[in-house]
Amino acid sequence: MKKQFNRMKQLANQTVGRAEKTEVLSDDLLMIERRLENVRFVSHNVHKKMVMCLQGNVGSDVDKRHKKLPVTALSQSMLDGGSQLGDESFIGKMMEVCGEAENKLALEQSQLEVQLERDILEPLNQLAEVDIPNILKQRKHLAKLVLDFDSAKARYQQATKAFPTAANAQAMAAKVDTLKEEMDEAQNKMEICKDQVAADMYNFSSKEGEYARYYVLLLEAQAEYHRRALASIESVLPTIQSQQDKWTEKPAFGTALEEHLKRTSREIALPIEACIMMLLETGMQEEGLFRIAAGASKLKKLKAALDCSTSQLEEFYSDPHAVAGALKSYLRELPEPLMTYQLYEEWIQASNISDPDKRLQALWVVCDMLPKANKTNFRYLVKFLAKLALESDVNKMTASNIAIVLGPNLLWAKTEGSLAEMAATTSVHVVSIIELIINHSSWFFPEDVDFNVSGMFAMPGCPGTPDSEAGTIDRRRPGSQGSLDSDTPRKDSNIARDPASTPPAMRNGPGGLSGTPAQLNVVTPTSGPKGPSPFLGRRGTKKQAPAPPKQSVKAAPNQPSAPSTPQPLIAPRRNNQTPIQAPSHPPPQPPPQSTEEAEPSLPRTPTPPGTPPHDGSQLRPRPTPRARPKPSGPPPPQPSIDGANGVCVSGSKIISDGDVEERSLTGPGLDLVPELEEDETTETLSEDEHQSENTAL
Amino acid sequence: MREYKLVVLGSGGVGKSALTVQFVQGIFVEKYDPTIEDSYRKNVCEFISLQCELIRLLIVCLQEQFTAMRDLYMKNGQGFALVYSITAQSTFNDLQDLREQILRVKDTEDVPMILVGNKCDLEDERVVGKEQGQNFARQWSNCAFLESSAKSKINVNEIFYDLVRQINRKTPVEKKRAKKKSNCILL
Repeated sequence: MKKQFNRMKQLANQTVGRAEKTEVLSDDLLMIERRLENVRFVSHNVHKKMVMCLQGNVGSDVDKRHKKLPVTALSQSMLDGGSQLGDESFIGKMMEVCGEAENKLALEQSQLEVQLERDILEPLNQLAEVDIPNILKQRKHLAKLVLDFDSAKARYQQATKAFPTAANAQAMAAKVDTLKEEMDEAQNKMEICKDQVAADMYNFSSKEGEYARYYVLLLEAQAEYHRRALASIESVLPTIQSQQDKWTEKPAFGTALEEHLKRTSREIALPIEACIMMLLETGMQEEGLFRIAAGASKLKKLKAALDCSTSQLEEFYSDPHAVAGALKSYLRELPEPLMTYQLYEEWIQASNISDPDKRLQALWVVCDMLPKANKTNFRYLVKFLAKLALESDVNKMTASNIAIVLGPNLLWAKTEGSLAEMAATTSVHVVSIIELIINHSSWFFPEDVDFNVSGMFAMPGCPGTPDSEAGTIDRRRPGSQGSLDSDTPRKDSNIARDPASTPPAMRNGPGGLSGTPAQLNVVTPTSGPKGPSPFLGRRGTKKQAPAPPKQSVKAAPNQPSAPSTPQPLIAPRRNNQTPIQAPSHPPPQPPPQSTEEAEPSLPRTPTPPGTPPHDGSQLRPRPTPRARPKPSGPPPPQPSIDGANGVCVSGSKIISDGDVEERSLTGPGLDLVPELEEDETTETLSEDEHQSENTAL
Repeated sequence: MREYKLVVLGSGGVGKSALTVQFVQGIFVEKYDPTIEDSYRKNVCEFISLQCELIRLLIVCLQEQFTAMRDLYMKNGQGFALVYSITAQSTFNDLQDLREQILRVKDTEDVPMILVGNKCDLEDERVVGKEQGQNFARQWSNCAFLESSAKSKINVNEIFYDLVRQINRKTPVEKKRAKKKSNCILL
């Protein structure tokens, strides 16, 4: 009590300045003292914030912490999603892989947090909440002791001052002694405490490096965590990426042919085959196929469906125009035209040759220069177009018509768009090239082509084909598409179908030929009646014995083991060229057989390209009211035009000026396309056109 | 004499050539050859005014692959006949894009234009109603609309005369003369 009172009194005196205060701490200690409080404060703050950074519960062990992490929840939901979607789904598979990776991350994180807590948070807490406060407490204690000492000292000094004058010296001396003793004691206590405090403070100061190290530790721990997390991600990444790459279902449209074929391990681009298979079934007799535009939304849907190579294309069988539109679209959207930029000049040059036979040969050479993938697909397409042209009685798409509407999708100049007239000229050339090639398809490509290359596109109308589902799944797996039809020879021969004998069959839907439901499935309609349940057979072979279609193509001419005995079909009324054993080597050595087949109508084809002339005239029987100078038939019939101006077709087709009736001006209508350069050609040609036009009318 | 450049546009097979040939030559062409581009001329003094008018018709096919050329025609054409077939919905739907393209190329809302529903003799196969066409035309800032038949010679001349009248209204004769000269220089 008294002590307390003395302290108060001393403190009061000191504050008012009446009494002197003993400073027990040296300057450096005072500095440390000041810093102590600051360090405590900031450490406290850092600790608080760091705890907020932790996602787990402070204090729990690794496992518990791991379970509580948000990443764990994420990984769990991914794993769940993966198993829910199943192995079938590619997304599911990826989710599983990704989920596992996330789980590893979560584990790493929980380990990090535990480590952080142990190595940093706890020491920091110790520092801020225990060590420093202890020192501060000591310091306060010291302050009290100092007060005690001061007050004792003051009282002692007072006593000694009063001592000489004191009345009873005896008593006074005793009091002074007591006071001195008291003072000494207080001083003693104070010294001890002071030493203690000083020691603690120095200790703290010397340990500052250690405390600072916490922060190094923090970063080190984090770095280690990130490294490990990165490592675990990187170990998964290649796997998941390669799975992604292996996934074949990438858009076919707009992808380079080569790439698409490689990825899907196909020989014929999927959209080409799919569309042609569908058209073979239901489109061959559709009037204006490839000419008439399809509904935009239907077309878009079909394109999207083809992009993900679904097999559910049944609904499109009823809309051949959409199918044709999709095929056109595919060809046009190729980054490089099917007939390639590289050979652009060659094509154009070849088409400029005036001598029909030489032109054909030149085209043959260029055609032979096509890269393998392009050539295969081009051949496939041309064979189909030739087949389509055979039905021109019904579908009205003669070779020339087909060439007009499809040509510009097969070849274009790289610079197209910059010069419209360039594009125009190009299309004229291309049209003439395509027309020639279609008309002489069997000369250009003597091999028969089986349109059903991969067997993927079974016919519609087979309700609930059990295969169709399996097919879809199958197709998703990369590689399964490589499996190709091996028993192709059977159908090869049937390509030469006699259209006249069975015209209504195709139009009226699948299986029209036979009528039996089993044969509804037949892909190549003609093979239906002959082959024993071809659909099943094909399916079987497709899965069991994948064989490169090349073989089948090569084998085709021999037609060795064709169970469907194609021979009777092979001699169709209208196209004798099919069975021709045409040259498989460059044109200079033309097929002698073909010349045999050539009909008398062609007296002047002295040279190789055994062009079957008759089919051309057959395909374009009608006179054109305004005749285009396009090569309407095969080379022979047109010597005069070609001879007249070497560059036969260019430009003129675009601006053919049918100057009729009033016959007012002969100048062709160039002003609408003023930039066109071939004025003169056009003029002369338009003269020609007059002639033909008048005669035609 | 004044020359009009009319462009006939529309999807494949709607009868652009047929309409044009019917108008120019008075016959119905049975052939089925797709047109890339053709142009025709016709003098029509007696029909439209006292002046002798030379109409140049350009039929342009809407095969999407001929896009590059199409812009050029649009730039040079003065009046446009947008043709669809009343027997095919898709040919009708395509015209919206076509019109927008024309307006874009011309950079104006006011382009002499007529909407034509061809093949109206094939009433049995009709899928695009007359009201549909009329509504469409109304949406196109009251564009002219006709249903025609090249085969039965219904409204064939009217299409082209209407366009000529629209052009006359938009650019009266004197101005046109001057413009025509510049065209000649181009030639």
